[in-house]
Amino acid sequence: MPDTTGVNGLREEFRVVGKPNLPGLTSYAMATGVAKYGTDYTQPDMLFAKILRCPHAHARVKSIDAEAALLIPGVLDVIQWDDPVFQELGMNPIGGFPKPSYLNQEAHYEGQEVGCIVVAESEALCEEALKALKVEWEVLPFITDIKKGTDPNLERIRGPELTQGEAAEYRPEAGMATSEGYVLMTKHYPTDPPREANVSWNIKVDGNPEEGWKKADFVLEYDVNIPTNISTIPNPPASVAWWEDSMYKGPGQKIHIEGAPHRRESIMSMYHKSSDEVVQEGLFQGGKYCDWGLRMAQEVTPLLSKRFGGRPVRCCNSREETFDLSRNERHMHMRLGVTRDGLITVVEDNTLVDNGAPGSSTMGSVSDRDWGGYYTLKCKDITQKFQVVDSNIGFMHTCAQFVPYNWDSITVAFDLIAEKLRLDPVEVARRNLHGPSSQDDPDPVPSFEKSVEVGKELMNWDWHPAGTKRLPDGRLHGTSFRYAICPRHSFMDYFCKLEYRDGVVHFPTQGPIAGWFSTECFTMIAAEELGLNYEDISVDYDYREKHSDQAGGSDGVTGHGWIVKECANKLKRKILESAAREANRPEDAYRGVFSFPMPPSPLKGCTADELDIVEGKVVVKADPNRFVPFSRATRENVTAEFGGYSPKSAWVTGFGRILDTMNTSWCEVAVDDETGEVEILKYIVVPDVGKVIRRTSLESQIDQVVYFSQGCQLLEEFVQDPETGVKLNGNFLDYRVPTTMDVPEVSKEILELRSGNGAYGASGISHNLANSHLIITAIHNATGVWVDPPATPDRVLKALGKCEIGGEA
Amino acid sequence: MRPFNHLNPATLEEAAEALRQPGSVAMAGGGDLLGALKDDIAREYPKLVVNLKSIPGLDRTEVRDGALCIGALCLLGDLSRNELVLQYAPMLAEAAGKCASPALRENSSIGGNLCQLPRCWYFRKLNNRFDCARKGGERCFALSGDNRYHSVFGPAVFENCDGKKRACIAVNQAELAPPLMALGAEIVTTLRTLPVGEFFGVRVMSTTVLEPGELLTEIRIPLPEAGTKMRYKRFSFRKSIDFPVVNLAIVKTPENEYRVALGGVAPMPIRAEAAEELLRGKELTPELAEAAGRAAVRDAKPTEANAYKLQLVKTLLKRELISMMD
Repeated sequence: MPDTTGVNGLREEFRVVGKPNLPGLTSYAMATGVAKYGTDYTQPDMLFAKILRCPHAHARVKSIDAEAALLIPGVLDVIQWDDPVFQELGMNPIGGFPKPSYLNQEAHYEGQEVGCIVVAESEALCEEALKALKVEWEVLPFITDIKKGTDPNLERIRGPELTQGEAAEYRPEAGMATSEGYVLMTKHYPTDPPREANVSWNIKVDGNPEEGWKKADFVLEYDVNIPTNISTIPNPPASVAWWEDSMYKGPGQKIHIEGAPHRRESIMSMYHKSSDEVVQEGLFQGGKYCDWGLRMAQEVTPLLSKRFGGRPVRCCNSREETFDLSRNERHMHMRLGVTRDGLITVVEDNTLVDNGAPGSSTMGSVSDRDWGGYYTLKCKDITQKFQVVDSNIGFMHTCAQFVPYNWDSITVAFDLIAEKLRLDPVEVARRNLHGPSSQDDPDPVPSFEKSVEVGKELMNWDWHPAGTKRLPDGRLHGTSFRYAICPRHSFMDYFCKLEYRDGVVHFPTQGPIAGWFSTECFTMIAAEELGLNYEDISVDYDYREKHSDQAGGSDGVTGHGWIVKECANKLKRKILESAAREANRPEDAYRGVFSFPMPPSPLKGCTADELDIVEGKVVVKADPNRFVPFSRATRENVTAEFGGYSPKSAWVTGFGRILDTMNTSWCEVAVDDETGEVEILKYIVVPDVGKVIRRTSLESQIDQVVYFSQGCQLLEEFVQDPETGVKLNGNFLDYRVPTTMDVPEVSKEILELRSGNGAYGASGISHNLANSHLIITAIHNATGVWVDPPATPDRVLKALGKCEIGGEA
Repeated sequence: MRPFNHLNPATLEEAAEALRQPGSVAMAGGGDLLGALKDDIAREYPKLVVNLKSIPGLDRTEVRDGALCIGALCLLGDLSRNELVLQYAPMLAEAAGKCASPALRENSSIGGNLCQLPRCWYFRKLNNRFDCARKGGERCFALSGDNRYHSVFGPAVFENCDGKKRACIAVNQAELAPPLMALGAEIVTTLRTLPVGEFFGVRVMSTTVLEPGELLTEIRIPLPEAGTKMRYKRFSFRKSIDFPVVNLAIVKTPENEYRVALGGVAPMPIRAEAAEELLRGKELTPELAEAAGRAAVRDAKPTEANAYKLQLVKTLLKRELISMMD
């Protein structure tokens, strides 16, 4: 679906959009250390706060004796969970459900904030105070092994009476239907089996599976196991807050907070403040990937500051305290019916998934079902049965890096079908992928076909059956392939304001910025439409402005960009109207110094329709020699605003049943079967993004998504002690994120088929390039055995049967 | 980090006196100690940190009395670039240049590397969450817990402070120990000189036999005779920052005498004596190299989780020996 509904959506000439290496607006600050993140803020006369963390996987605080802690000079307060002060807090609208109280008495995973907050004159004193507390814990049963957690005889870890939030979590509800009639995800359907012990269910059946099984020539049965991963936020959450006097509302009425990311709305809502009563000037929150949840360290400081007369209070998480989950554990037991031609006739996905601690995002459990790849298949008989296990593994905020997971089960399916039928997996994929308009459409998808053509060439693709090829150095050789759609949001409304003032176009926007350089993308689009250069637009950061660069994540940038495109054209029209008006005013309206008469405008006699903005000039279309510099187009202040929704995208229209922009990823590995080492020889991504807006951002996004896809498949493993449920590797020495030396070069050939309907036919990228099984599948192709991620050398050796106990073996 | 006192002694005597006091700890580069203090892993927080860097002359490297003498405070980065080390003990330079990360190598010393505390994740869990045997507690949590990176030669049994026998399955992670053992190095302390193999011990909050107030001052490596070959190999999951899960060093003399030392596989760095015995006096062949690999782990007692280390030792030793063939 190209961008046919907006202005210039089919533009062919681009001077700014798509241009590589335009500098980021904040790159200098970030590269030189000028940028301040949450942990960088300090204030004179500042207090410090630390929150008690639970040392058990599941426990309730029975009592806290704070007497000894409060006797330590410099320790000012120990605020316990039942303090009425917490009732003053409103709800954080981002990613939360109603909390029984802000600070709970019960912790559902090791390291969770619980029980009390200490406030002292230094961070060291906070730590002393926490040590001095006499906490009486009631240690409760826990589940960190979700397979064992399915045992119906296990004691329940939630309840027996559910809190308000937990009850909301288990409430069955009918799924929402889209305007196209597709029923969307919900966590529990009314038809689901009832919750039993620690397990709840979520079952969705599409089509007629019985008919699907009848059409099949054979059944393919396999497992896709996906472990827990943590969110590797580079900047640990932290904030400093204090109360300021308001000139209009009185002393101590304004909150100044730095370090609380994702705009000020959360803080405004929690503290019942209006927009002008919350100040957040800092621009930098650090890199994030769909992790919108504020941590307690980012939202509690205003409350504590108020308690101490507005003195600034600082609260910082350590690295270990930032070990929140980015992906919940999942075990998919798959059964497929397949014909002799490799066509999938029926899908049965039996998924056992971690529900996480109460309040964890459902994007990591059941809410990814509609976002995945099943509906890209011709097969319409699909059953998904989710067995959702409550656990004490950890907490996931808002979203997950790797959703949706069923792209991975398809990747593995194509490999297995290829293996069984001795067919190229690309051909298996082609036979199963439906056409652009519906699941009944037999036509090829141009975006997919082009991506495959380019990918095969880059890979020098020559598929071989598993375990049949060795490299000259003796290592085993394997390849793999996957496809996905290039998705774009269109369910968020956006807003843009542009202003022509004193000869310059201003683009006012609030911070903080989130790391995907969307403001730069928007600036490029505005410059393109206004006939200006990128650097001609003045981006004015001001926390009071409505516009934010959040954009709905990277997938939303091109939809948000569509709004900016419309806004820029609105501004352009208004500037031309103003320029024509000013050029045609009576002569005596023009006055120079001491009222000397001014020469007539070169635009005199023209209407707005007869003018254009070209390369920094307002010109007469019919005679480009007649112009005024853009900076002198008009003396008026001209403002344009545009808000609303971008055109509805294919992704949220059909959830895979309609296809426009697609991508393919390819991997080639070498496996040392004597040491278990895996080396990625090639990692190639060929996305059709529709239209590149800012190439540097796009390439970086791909690098990043491959970075964590590689990390989760080869290195990263979240380890908890089986006996206590305590995490054992809460640091980046023991939890192995890839170092720069471990990351392979990612080859990218970016296609621009203009078939997305964001700005200029652009679509999105990122989530669907994230995967848990592309490298794993290549390892299978190399070795002939499946290694569950992460394929660390010990696991590879074990899968190869080379971990015998006994030295002489 | 919690408050502590800090002393900059001017002499070894002053440092030794301070370190005889209970609650004092020595700090060389600080690469190990500062992390331990930040994570508050011990039962008792140190009252006094004695900074050894203020003592002059402990970072010298020189050839003296037929030995390469390396001061205990010589930094790993300097060691990896030192011309004398590159000339007489190139595998030690290689090993030092592969430790940790570039930044850490410029801060961490050879002495600190040899004396570092175990990296066992139960031992290192912050706020002394697991009060294990190596801290004076009753049990080794890794024995029944997750021990994938732990000893494949069984636990060490040692006496804790009250004289009771305790077990610990954590490995010694002193990365430079295997090359020093293979090179036949000696450790010089303020009280004695001992072979490097006798320097290591399993004790409460210690991985050496150093007594309170006793300080490591120098490492002496006998100059190798002409024609000596040496190899060092480490295996880690990442290409930087990781401690090796296995590392090994081999020295082969012109008379075909072999010294093979292994790290990361036992509570202390060990000599692979069975492999040395098998190799003694023989010219290397691929078959002999493979047999030596098997012999090196003959007495191993791995757990189900860490048996992979045996395969690594066998493979790495085989490959390094083959690379030494004439």
